[in-house]
Amino acid sequence: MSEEKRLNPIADILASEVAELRQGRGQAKHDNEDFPEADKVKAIGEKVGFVSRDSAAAQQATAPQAVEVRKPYRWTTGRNRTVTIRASDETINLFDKVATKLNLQKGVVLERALAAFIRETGVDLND
Amino acid sequence: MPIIVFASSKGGAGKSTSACLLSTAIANTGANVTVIDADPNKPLTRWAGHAKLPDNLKVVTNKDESTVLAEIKEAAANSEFVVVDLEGVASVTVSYAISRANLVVIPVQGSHLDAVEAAKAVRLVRNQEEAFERKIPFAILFTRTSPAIRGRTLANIEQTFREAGYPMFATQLLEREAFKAMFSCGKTLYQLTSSHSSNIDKAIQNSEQFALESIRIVRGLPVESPEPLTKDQHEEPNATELAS
Repeated sequence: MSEEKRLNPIADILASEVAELRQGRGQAKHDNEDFPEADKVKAIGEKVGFVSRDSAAAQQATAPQAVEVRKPYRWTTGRNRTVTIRASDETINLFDKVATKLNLQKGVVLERALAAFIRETGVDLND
Repeated sequence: MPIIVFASSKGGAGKSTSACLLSTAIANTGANVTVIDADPNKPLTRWAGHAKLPDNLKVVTNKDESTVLAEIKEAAANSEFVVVDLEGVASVTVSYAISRANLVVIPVQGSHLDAVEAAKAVRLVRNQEEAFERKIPFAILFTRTSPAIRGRTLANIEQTFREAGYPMFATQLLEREAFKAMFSCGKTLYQLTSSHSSNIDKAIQNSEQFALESIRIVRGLPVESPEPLTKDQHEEPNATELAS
């Protein structure tokens, strides 16, 4: 061990520096009683983001519950569905005019128009 | 007696390894050392559970943030040196420990992420110094550096810290297999043999150089830059170390 120490001068210097410190030489003077109070230390730390785990947990526990978002009303009859059809302005205007004239819902107009179309063309839908 | 605190809100910066090295280096001189393991992952508690520590080196596990000041006070009353290994987050435990420190060691790996977190720790130290009109010595310790290559990022970080007036340890803890072997084998650096790791003597020298600088800072003595490594002292990383 002693031979090893002679080969490592840093170890000797370290031992001598530690011994000086143990004997109280060159040590920065400090006394436990002089230390700042915990509350003040905590406040300083919180200013730069060093927060208490306890307060972070408590904040999480008391965080307001997420407000339940109301679902939008759904105006469904349970029978009809919406269909989007691309058509020319003339066709759409004509469709509106027929529905207004006959005082029928557009879905009913479409239903009757399809029936008339099938009758007229004799198309076989079973193919 | 001196309280030396290892702080950085970044995990993996090398706090536990460097705290372990400092504690064992001081204990090896015969001084009585208590380590407070204030990292919730308890790396040093686990290490102490496996290692056969010398009688003058004790590891105490911190209970929680509310008890750390009392634990430091008790350790300081019963030991010649107290070393506090803190958790890698910005918590009030860090503030408490720094408020009692005679030296704050801020380990930094050569990465931008580590540097940012180190700056946060420095800000906390300086705020406490200003608020409590108490000088708190601190220094940046570069860890896991390469013995052969000095990366550009590390050089930039050093330059930035120098410009910001951050004191830095002249000693850097190199990336060494022996430092890892302490934890994987459950031994102090002084208990390792060549069957555990290579270059143990150089690892001890590196560790003691760091310990010597720490003691000098605590004593308020000027820190001399260590002599640059000579060519034969440079270790080429061997295949095993590279593989690990």
